[in-house]
Parts: sequence; C-alpha cells; structure tokens
Amino acid sequence: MSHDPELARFGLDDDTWITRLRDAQAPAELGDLGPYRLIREVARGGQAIVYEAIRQTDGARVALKRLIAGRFANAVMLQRFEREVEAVSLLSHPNIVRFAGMEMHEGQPVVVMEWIEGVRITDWSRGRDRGEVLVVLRRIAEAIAHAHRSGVIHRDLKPENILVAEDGEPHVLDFGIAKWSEIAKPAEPSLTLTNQFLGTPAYCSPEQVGEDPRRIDARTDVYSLGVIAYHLLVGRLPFDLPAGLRRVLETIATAEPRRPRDVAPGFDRDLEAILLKMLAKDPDRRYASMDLFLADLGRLERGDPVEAEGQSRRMLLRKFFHRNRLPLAILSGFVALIAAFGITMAILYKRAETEATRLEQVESFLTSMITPEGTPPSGAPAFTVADILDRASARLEGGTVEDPEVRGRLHLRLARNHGSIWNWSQAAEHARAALEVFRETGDRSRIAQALAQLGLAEAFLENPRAVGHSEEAVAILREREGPRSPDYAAALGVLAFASYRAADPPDPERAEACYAEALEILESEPESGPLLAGTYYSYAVLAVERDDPRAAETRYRRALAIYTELPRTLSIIGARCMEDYAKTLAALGRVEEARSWLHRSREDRPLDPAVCETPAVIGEILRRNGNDEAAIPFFFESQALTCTYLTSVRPEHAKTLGGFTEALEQGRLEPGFLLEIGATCRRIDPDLHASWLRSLRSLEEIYERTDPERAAICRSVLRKSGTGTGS
Amino acid sequence: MEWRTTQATLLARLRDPEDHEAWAEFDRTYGELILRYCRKRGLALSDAEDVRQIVLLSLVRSFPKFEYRREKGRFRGYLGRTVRNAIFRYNTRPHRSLELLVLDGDRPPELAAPDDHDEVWEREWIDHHLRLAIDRIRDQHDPKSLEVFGRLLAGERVRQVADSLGMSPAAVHKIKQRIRDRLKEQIARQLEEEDPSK
Repeated sequence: MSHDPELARFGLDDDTWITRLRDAQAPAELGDLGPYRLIREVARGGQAIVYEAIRQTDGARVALKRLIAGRFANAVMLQRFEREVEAVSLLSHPNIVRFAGMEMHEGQPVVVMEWIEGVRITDWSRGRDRGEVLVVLRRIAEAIAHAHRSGVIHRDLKPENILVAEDGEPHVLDFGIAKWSEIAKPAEPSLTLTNQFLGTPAYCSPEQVGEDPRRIDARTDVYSLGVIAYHLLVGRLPFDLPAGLRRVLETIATAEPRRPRDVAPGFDRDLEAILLKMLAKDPDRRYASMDLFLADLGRLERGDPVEAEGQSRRMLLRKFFHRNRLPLAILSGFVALIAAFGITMAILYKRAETEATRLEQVESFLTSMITPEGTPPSGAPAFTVADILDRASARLEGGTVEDPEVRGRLHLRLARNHGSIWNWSQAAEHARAALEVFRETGDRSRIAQALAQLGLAEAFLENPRAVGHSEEAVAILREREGPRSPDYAAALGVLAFASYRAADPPDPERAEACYAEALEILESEPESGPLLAGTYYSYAVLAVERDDPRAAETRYRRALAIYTELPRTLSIIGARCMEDYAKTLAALGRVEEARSWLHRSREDRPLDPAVCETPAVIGEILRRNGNDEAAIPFFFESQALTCTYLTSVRPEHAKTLGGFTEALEQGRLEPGFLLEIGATCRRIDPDLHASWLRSLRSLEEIYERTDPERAAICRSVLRKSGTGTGS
Repeated sequence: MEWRTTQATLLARLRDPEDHEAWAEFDRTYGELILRYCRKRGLALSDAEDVRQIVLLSLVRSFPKFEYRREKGRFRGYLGRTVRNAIFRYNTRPHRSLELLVLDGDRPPELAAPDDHDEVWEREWIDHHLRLAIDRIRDQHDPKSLEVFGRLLAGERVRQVADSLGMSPAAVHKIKQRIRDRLKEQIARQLEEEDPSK
C-alpha cells in the first residue's frame, strides 16, 4: 500500500490504539437547544433533523424537529409554517403523533412532538403475515383520513415517518409540514434539486416530482401510502429506481408499477387491484379519498369484489404492452369476452324473467327511477345510468318494496345493470342480496338462485370465487332444466371460463371439458345463436392462452360464421371477435389476412378509442415477432384513425387535423402535425393519449434500426409531448 | 470487495450534481465529520448544521471542477478549506440568505492564506476514518469476535474479557490482533479511495 506514512498517523501501532478508537467513537456533544437537552439524532431527511430530547424543565422526553436551514426563512415563510404546525397541533388521533407546537430557539423554528418508542414500519413488518400488515395499514389510513377531514395533508409519507410501538399501534409522524422547498424555493435550480431529495424520493407521488406543487392534495397521500403498502405486502418497491436524481424522478413520473403477481406469483388479485389503483400516475385514477380506499379494504376483508377490480379489468387491454409475455398470450380479447359473457347473462335473465311473475312491478319500479321528482331542468346534464341505479338501490334499501319476490327480482336486475356498466362491487352486492332473498323464498326460486350465483360469478370474474358460484349455478340448472337445456349449457360456459381465468391454479382441462359439453348441447339447439357464438369465441381465447393457434383459428372461424348471421345489435361483439382473430393471424405471421379481418371489423362501426388502438396492437405483435416492415403500416393506420376520431369528437379541429389524417395515410411523418395530434389527444382522452405515445415509441424503436432521420422525429415528438401526466 | 468498487466511484460520481444517491452517500459519510469539526470550532449545533448544509451545497457546485491531483493537495485539504470558508462566511454575514452564502463560495477563498495545517481538522479527519473503518469491518467478523471487540472498546482488559467469555487470554489477544490488522487494511483502502494514487 502506498499510504504507509499516512497510515502511521492513525496510531494503530501504538499500544493505546484501543483507547484511540474509543475516543473517536465517543458521541459528539450535541448540547442544548433552548430548554431541551439533545440526546441523539434519530432521523435526518432533506428537510429536517429529528432529535430525541429531554425538556429540562419537567424531564419530559420529546422529539424535536429542527428544520434544515430554518434560520434562513423569512417572516412570511415562518408565518405560513407556524400556521401549518398549528393545524397539525389540533389533530387528535391515537395514531397521529401529537405536535405540541412550534417554538423559536437560537433564531430557528423548532417543532416539538410527542416522543414515541417504536420501530420503523418496514422493520416491524418483517416476518408478519398479510393479515397483521393489513390491520396496521388500516390504522394508518384511518389516521390519515382523520387528518384529511381536518384539511391536513401529510405530503411526506414514507417508512421513516411511521413507527410501530410495542403494542402494535402505528404512529404517523411529521404530519402536514409543507416541504421546505415548497416554501423556500431557491432561484438557483442546482440547489433545489439535490437539497430537496436528500431523503428518499421513492415514496413521492408523480405530482410531487412534477412542476406544479398545487396539484398536491389528499390523493398524494393515497399514492405514498400505496407505495408503502406495496413495499410491506410485496416485499419490494414497485419500481427499480435508477441512479441519478433526474432519472429517478422520471421513473416516478412515467414507469408503470410492476404487477404484484409478476413479482410474487399467487399474490391476491383483489389486493393487487387495490395497490395498483393507489399507485395510478394520474390522481384522477386513484381513490379520490382515503375513505374510499378504506371502503375497498373493507370489501377485501369481507371477500366482496373490490372497486379497484373494475378498473383493473378495464385497464387490462391497455396494460398489456407493459407485460412482457409472449405475443400470443396478449391476444385474448378479454374485454370482448366480458361483453360476450354479458350477452349470455342477458339471455338467461330475459328467459327467466319472461317466466317470472310480478315482472310488471319490477318494470314500473325501475321506470319510476328514470322520472324521479327533481328531474334536472333542461340544459342540466341528464342522469347517467349510474345515477339511476344509485337511486334505485337507495329506494330498495329504504324498504319500500315489501314483496320479497319483487325485491329479489329487482336486486337481480340491478346486479345485471351494474354489471353492464362494469360496476362490479355493486353488482356483487345486489347479486348477493338477491341470493339471500331467494334462499328465503325457497324452492320456487331455484332458477333465480342460479341466476344470482351467475351474477356473483360474473362480478368475481377474475377471482377464484367465481368458480364456486358458477358450479352452484351449473348444479341448479342441471337439476331443474335437465342436462340438455341451453340454460345449463350457458352456465357451463361460464364455469369453463372461470376454470381457466379465475381458478387458482387454472384448470384448463376442466375448461376444455365444459366447453365441449356446452357446445355439443348448443349446436343441436336451433335458437341458440348468440350463446353459441359467444361460447366458441371464449373457447377460441382458451386456445390462444394454451398456445394452440390452430384450434384458436377453427373456433374463431366458427364464432365469426355465426356472428355474421346474427342481428345487427350483436355485431359489436362480432367485430371484437374479428379484431381478436386478426391479432391471432398476425401472431401467426399471416399479415394480409390479419389486415383484411381488421378492416372488416371496422365496417359499419362507430369509431372509438379501442378501434383506434387495435391496429397498433397488431403492429406491436408483428414488431415483437421481428417483422418490423409489416408492422409500420399498422402503426400509421392507428395514428390516422386516432386523428379521424379526434376530428369526430372535436369538429372544431376538423380543418387542421383532417389534413393530418391524409398525410398519415400517405406515410408522412412530421413533427408539427404529430405534436398537434398528441396535444389534442391529451386534452380529450388520457388513455388514448397513452396508447398514442406507445405506438409512437414503437415506431421510434423500429426506425432506430432502419431510418435514423425518422427515429429522430419520433424522439423529438415524444420528448416534447412529455410522457408524464404530472405537468 | 463489492463495497470497494462502489466506494471507489463515489468521488467520481459526485461530479454529477444530479446523482443524488452519491450526494446522499457523501452526506452520510462526511456529514458527521463536518459537524464535529464545527462543534470543535465553537459553533452551536444549529449553526454547525447550517454550515454542513452550506458546505454540501457549495460542493455540489464546485466539485465538478475539482481536480484530483495528489501533488496539488489531498481531498481532505480541499474539504477542510471548503468547511473553513463556509464557517467564515457564515460568521461574517449573519443576514445573508443560504443561497447567497452558497453562491459566495464560488468566488476565490476569502481567507488570506488558507491554513492548510489545521490540527483540529486533521484530528477530526483521523477520527472520522477510524469510525468509518470500525463500521465497515463489522460484517467481516463473527459475533464472538465482535463481542470481544465491543468489550475491549468499552474499556475492559484482555483478562477480564477472557474470563467473562470463557476464553483464554491468548485467544482474546489473537482476535484483538486480527481486528487491528483488518482496521489497518480498511483504512489504507479508505485513503486510497479518497485520494486515488493513479
């Protein structure tokens, strides 16, 4: 080693070397701060240092928080800060660490807090089971909800700020102090950047790393608690944080969190949906309040479908770009399948209802909901389907309907209607209520019981409980209607679907058997068109999932042959089926056939964001299979469709955007019009904007290899379009 | 040896003012040294913390321009000068904002002749490396050795330690020797990292 003379100065060769070490290790004299004797430093962040201290006047142990650079605050800042401390001091909740107030010592603001003996929540959670962790998370969320109701937002939730005491009670510290950087923003940017994030930014929300701190509200805490919950339950952070602050902030602003089930196979689906909802980049997509999160947590604990699940299903198709599965596996037309499933249910309901008594009462009750007292004056927005359903639910719960049969039927109908607008948690509540009523009315309501079970199966579609509910329905219908009845076959189709989509682990063999039996019955039934087509469709998806493209092709063909014969009202599902078939063809490399089915799927069909996205999905499949050249036109097609769609919803842009559609159809790529499309997209539909960005990114990757000039255009548009939702 | 490679690049990483992990690591590593030195120089804890902050922010600005050339001076000299300058600015301009105090540091040092031979600083710097080394060799030793080391540090004699742990004094001596060797190696490594010889 080249440092020998230097090394000698450390005195390690002297006999007294141990003494020397002891001296070096002696705790630094911290001294006093006003009337407090400082014991030790317990935490240090970018904003403040917290000390354990003794108040010398009465010997009380307290936590003192001293702001870093607090001396430099001006009077306005101090006043604002003091007001915040005051607001927090007024909070009174067993799980919130109490603030005694703010004091000035040595010219600096110091916050005096209750001293808590406890361990950091991430240390506490090691080796604890899910149940224990959820109980503590609930306590924390309740404490935060309490603060929110008093108008106090935490803004800096992270494991360091949550201590769990020996009795298992969590304590949330450090409430509501505006980040120092929000109060005192240095003009010199290099100062803020480093200073602000000396603590970990891993728990910061996208809006906090964005440029506009005014966007921070209660949902910011929902996000940060989501990261903590993810950390505790999944065992790691939802993102890998790269080195370098700017990249970290970019990751927080744009990276999709890893799905817990990808990290921990077997992770509860509902809990996953809840976590992902908390972690949504766009605050509008999170729980709007801590109370709504708590309500969903309650549903999870009771085993009811969670609100977040509906969203996750809806997001499923949009999310699959983020999943790195084989292209074939991403082809499942899940959204379409749910629609096909809905048809099955609707047919069953209809049939059961025509046989039911008291149908008139049900109808008149529902009609009364559409023309209620207090109809909005003309010009005000009309009631949405959801409004009407809410009204009906409230009335029903109010006990105005005495006849149990009518009540049960109404619950069933509401379950169905909620299902049709993807309101799964309410759908399940009504299906469950219906089931209870019909169990009481006894044997004459067996079929209605089966329908309620199917309603529950539908509401739980991706949850293992769907299997049990559909089994019950299958058993009842077989017993009542016989083993050749179409209703029984329909229920079998549901069970088949549940067996591979919801069962944990999936049971594709059982699914095959159920499908085969259902199809055999339905094929010999002359009037079963929609059911038969829907069943073939979902059977085809099973083949895709099992990586059997040949079987998928045969089944898609059969389903499409039936759909084309069906009345127009069902054609939308037929169109979805065509799109999915086109995806399978693309995965098989049959580009021309894929293109032709894709175009057929759009005939006589209104343009919507899903339609705009589909060609890009096909392009992506081709790209991932290494067929860049074939992929490019599909991405352009998607861009052009998007442009046309925007024109249709915003006719005032028709003049400008119309020309762009043409340019795109000719394969032109210019930053000017791309930016215009992106900006309009962003204003109208964030989901469409996200998919537009994805397809542009894919194009960029392709051109990176083939056409640097075009790659540069894509890159600059992407950069200027800003990938975050925060700004 | 993984530690060594990450550590070796710490000073290099500080050239990027946005590598906040590197700066946080730097603050964790050297913050206490700065604080203790300020206290020795008579600053109250709160003032010492302010100086620590000024030093950190000044380094963020100046470090990318700092050249390591051993013949031009060592890192500890550079750091010591930065701290002394910060204390000077802090004490002489009581009403200046933090930002300006940091920006003032961009100008040439105000001290007529930077006193590079600052005994207090040298002493604190040595203690800093001793603490760091103790901390970093911990996971190279088994619990028994650590127990022995802990007792020795607490002031127990070799014989006392041997008796209470049921070991022979020779065994305790051996552990003591081994720890001393590790410490020397560790400190040599730290010095090399602070001022690479190449």
